Amino acid sequence: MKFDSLKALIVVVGLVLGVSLPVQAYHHFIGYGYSSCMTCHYNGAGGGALNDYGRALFAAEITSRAIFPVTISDEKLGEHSKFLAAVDLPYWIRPAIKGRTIGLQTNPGSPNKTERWIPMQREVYLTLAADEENKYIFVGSMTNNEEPRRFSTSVEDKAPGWAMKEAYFRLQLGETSWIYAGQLDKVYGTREINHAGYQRRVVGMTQYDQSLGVIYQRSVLPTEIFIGAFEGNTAEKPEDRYKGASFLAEYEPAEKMRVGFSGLTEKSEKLSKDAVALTGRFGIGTGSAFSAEMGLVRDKNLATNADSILGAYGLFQSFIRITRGYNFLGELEWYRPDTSVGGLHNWRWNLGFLTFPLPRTEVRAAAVNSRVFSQANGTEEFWTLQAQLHWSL
Amino acid sequence: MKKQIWIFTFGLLLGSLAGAQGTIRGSQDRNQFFLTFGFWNWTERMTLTQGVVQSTDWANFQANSFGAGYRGVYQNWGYDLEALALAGKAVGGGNSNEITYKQSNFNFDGYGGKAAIYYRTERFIELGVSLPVIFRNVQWDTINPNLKVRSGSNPLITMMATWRLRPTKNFLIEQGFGPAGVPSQTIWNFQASLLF
Repeated sequence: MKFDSLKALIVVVGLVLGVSLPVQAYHHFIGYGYSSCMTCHYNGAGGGALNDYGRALFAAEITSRAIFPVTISDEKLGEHSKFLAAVDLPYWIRPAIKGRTIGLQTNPGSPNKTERWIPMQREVYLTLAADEENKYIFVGSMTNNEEPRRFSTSVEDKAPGWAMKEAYFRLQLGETSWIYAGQLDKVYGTREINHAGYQRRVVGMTQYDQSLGVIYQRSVLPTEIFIGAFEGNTAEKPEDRYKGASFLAEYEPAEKMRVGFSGLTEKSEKLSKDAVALTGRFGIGTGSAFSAEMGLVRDKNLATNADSILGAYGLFQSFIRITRGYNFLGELEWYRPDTSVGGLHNWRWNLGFLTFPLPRTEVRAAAVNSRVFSQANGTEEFWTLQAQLHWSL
Repeated sequence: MKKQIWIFTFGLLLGSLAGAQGTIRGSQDRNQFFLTFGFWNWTERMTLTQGVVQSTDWANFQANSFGAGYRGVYQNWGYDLEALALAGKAVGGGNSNEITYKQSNFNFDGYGGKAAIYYRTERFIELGVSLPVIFRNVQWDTINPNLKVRSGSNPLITMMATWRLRPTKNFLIEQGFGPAGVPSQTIWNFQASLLF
């Protein structure tokens, strides 16, 4: 599709559909009453493959059912949400496939505009269970991207094609505790789906920042805690691997309301990083929500032994359900790389729609406005248009 | 700014209104006073003149705001009127090769008001438009006496798309976004309100 067509499509989506924007764990679904990520994901902190309940819930409650006649019940849609539609696979195997493509146009309308399509996610998942209650499971995922971030930003290794993303065991200990062991996402802050957001980027929690480690989860409502220790990503060179520990503690003072505190400390042979964050998620009405995170990040270059730099970031999201399957997402991001230097603030607004028009399908359209408040000069704002298609089996 | 972006932004709201359904049951019409605490951010174009216009450049403004107002709610619809005071920092210039004019972290203040109408898709969600009128007062220092920079009190009038979430009966969070009156540049706000 040419980008002019894409713009037209975005406008049409905004104006005509109007009934209804950015990554993979939808913490906004607290608006539907689902405050714990474990309801829908094998990983209790969110992200990655959906469990059977998450698949069914997504089809029967979140996705638009506009194309289905009333004679097809939500239960029926839920029953057809499995890997092979309504076909029941043996309890011990749960495969999944996900693809995500993003179209970007920077500086729209300007002679400097650029356009590109990025295959952002091509992943296959396999979950194996030793028992029907899923007390003992293995979760693995492989990814194939042309230029995964960790390869483009570290030493000049060539992208390897297919690479392991996750491989971990989850063991349930009693009714309220779980242990995760292997390579998986570290726990810290809100598991926001936009991996390019400040909130994830400055802390080093992007799309391919999984780490080999152990995480302990304890969920005794109204409290849920995660504590983990990690050794770095096995795909990185040993000197680039971050080793450390992190935690996330959330408290649910009322229904559809979660507040939390999170911390992380990690070190490679070259850099060290410490971070703390306050988080909050609040469900409003039927399916709408807002979430917020404020954090401090301290970076130190161990190679030069320079003074550490303390930065700060913030994120606020409004997720407004317009009608079933169609949502408005307004996202405000702030990042101050060095709090000791007056005046430098990075701001970003992300406005658009996050829609689930069909089962297994997500479509996003967003306009992103970025600006820098710098002491060096007055700056012009920067625009990006984004369109995103995500499908899954 | 390409028209598409603005059409898209305001399309969000129009579409949202179209998608909303039904009268909010059990909702009482009521009028309330409120106090707001917030943050505003926008970009302006600076004009540097030495007899005639020599150059244009950019100025960024960010400010904290305090406001007080009155709002009325009638089933799905509502309005509010708010008086605003702003104080913040501005950065201007620094990009022109012809005139090396720059001001960093310059203090400014502003006064004005905002009127808004909104539609409540449900009891705790409000989507609408607001019309802020802000007289911002910035007295740029002129480094070169031959250089004249447009400064002083100038009005900022615009229309913003506004969306609000009300997590509790007496607390409301508002976000707004609109054109700043300069091509490609925007103004936005982020406010928290206490309702009485």
